[in-house]
Amino acid sequence: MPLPDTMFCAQQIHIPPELPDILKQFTKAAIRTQPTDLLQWSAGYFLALLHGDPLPIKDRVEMPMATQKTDTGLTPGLLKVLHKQCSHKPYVALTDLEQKWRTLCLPVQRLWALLQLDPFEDQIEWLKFLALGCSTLGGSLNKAMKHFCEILTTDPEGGPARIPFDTFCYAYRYLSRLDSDVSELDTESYLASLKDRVKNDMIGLSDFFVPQRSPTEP
Amino acid sequence: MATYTYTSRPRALPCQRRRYRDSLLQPEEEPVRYGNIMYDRRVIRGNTYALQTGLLPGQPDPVELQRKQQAKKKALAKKRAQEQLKPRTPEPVEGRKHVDVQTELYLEEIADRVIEVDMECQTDAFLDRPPTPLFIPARTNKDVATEILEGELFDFDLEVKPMLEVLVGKTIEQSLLEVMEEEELANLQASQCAYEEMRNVELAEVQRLEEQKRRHEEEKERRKRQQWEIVHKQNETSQKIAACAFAQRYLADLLPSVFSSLRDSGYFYDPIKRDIELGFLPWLMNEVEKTIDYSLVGRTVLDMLIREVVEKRLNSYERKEGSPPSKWEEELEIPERKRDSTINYLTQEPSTLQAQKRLSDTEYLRAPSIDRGPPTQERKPVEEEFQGPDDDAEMRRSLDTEDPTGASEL
Repeated sequence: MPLPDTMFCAQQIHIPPELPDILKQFTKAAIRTQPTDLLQWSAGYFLALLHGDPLPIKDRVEMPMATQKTDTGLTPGLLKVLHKQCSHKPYVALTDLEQKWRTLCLPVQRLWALLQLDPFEDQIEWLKFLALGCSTLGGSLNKAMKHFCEILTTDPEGGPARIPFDTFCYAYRYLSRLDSDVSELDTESYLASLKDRVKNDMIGLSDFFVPQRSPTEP
Repeated sequence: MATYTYTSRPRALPCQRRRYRDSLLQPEEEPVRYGNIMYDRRVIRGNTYALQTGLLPGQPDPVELQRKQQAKKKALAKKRAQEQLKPRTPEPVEGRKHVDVQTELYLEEIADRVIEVDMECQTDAFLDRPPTPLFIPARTNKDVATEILEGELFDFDLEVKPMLEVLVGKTIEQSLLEVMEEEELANLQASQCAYEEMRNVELAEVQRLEEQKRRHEEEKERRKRQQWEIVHKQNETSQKIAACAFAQRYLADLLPSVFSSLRDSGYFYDPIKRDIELGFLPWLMNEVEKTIDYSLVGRTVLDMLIREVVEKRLNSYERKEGSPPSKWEEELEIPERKRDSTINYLTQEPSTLQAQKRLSDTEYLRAPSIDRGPPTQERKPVEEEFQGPDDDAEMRRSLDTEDPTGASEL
């Protein structure tokens, strides 16, 4: 520690004035994100802070989901973080994605597994990757679309998660193409039926997703 | 103890304008001037709320002024009095003049200009009290030196530990609090949004259902109205049909009845018949009447002839003998009566003729009238007259017939 020799007492120790603020932000981010590997994540965080990139922090504290069947470590919150980080460009480089994946302390094998579903070379279209991620989150295609809407929407949380219909169609077609069970005709007919209910080209959650209510609710 | 009371008879206060006399020559006693308090300047008159309570700072107090003037006057008067009382040297005799002379041994120069010498003196300005000098007692101690190496006096880690503790602890605490707060707020917001969303959806559903219900109602209403209209129309039609049938039946025998009544009232007439009725028969009646008239006239003429003849014969018989009038009286009477009857005939002829005419006109088909006494009676005699030209037989018959009328005379 480079200290001047004439330091006699504790009062002479100088604390840089930005330090408390930085510390506070960092602590808050850490509390919110709850990374499994703090150091890894902190490195990623400060790097992003240094470069001025969007920070790998979740907006809301996410309680660990009990309904996650496979321990992929991927949650909607994490997907959202990734989306926040990567969505400014339509294409994401593979290395970049991998680094970001690591920052979030997610197992890399999962990334490869995900990418195997639809192989890419070194650039991935971000929307497609997001759709893939959503499909691993939920069980059915509908649930995947629900997550997709929730991540992409600009509406406040809890409100009608609306996204442009074209985006929705794109993602839906892509996923249904990968999923061999659903035929293309069905996809098209479903989309056509949805189109009638769409207002100003924005499709909301309520239009296609009916949440299952518990029987005890009134 | 009784309260203090003071009473005095009211008396007018004298006006004390002058305390001292202006000159000795003035008499000692002067009539005391009593001032009217109404005109006393010391008495405040008018409203007291708008009075100047104080004096303006620049202007001198008039009372003060007055006092000063008075004081001046007093001083002046006093001075003058003193002057007058002072013993003076008597006035010089005529032709002489008083001169001031020095009588001392040594004459001194009396110059107008007074010798003046200026002398000054000044005290020193006040100086501040100097500060108390530090009490430094005499040194009674020994000097000792020692060497300090780096890191001996001051250990950074140790010193920084409390600081760090505070820093880190506070930071964590604060950030935790903040995160919790933000989280809570965000949760609230999210739940609010979700609730609103649900509400919107439900509202939409409710509206849809309402709309559906309204449409159903409208549809029902419309169908009901349609049905009612149909029924109404049917009713009307059936009523119309019934009315038509009834009218037809009712009016079925209208035509025959109309025709029959018209026929009864004579609107349908056979023109030939009518013509006969209107033209032929009246003419016939007229002709008959005429004939009857002719016959009547003829008979009347005949009667007249007979009468004349009888009268002539009577006259001749009367001339011959004016005896047994009984038979001839009878005969006279008879002719008189005959005359009367003829007169009656004559007078009644027009009426009978008229009556007969009327009869012929109106009731030719009916049975002849029954209430005409004289016409029947006359008819009989007319008939009788018509039948037989025998005069006597006629006269007797007429007698017989006229018996009931002329029975009383007989």
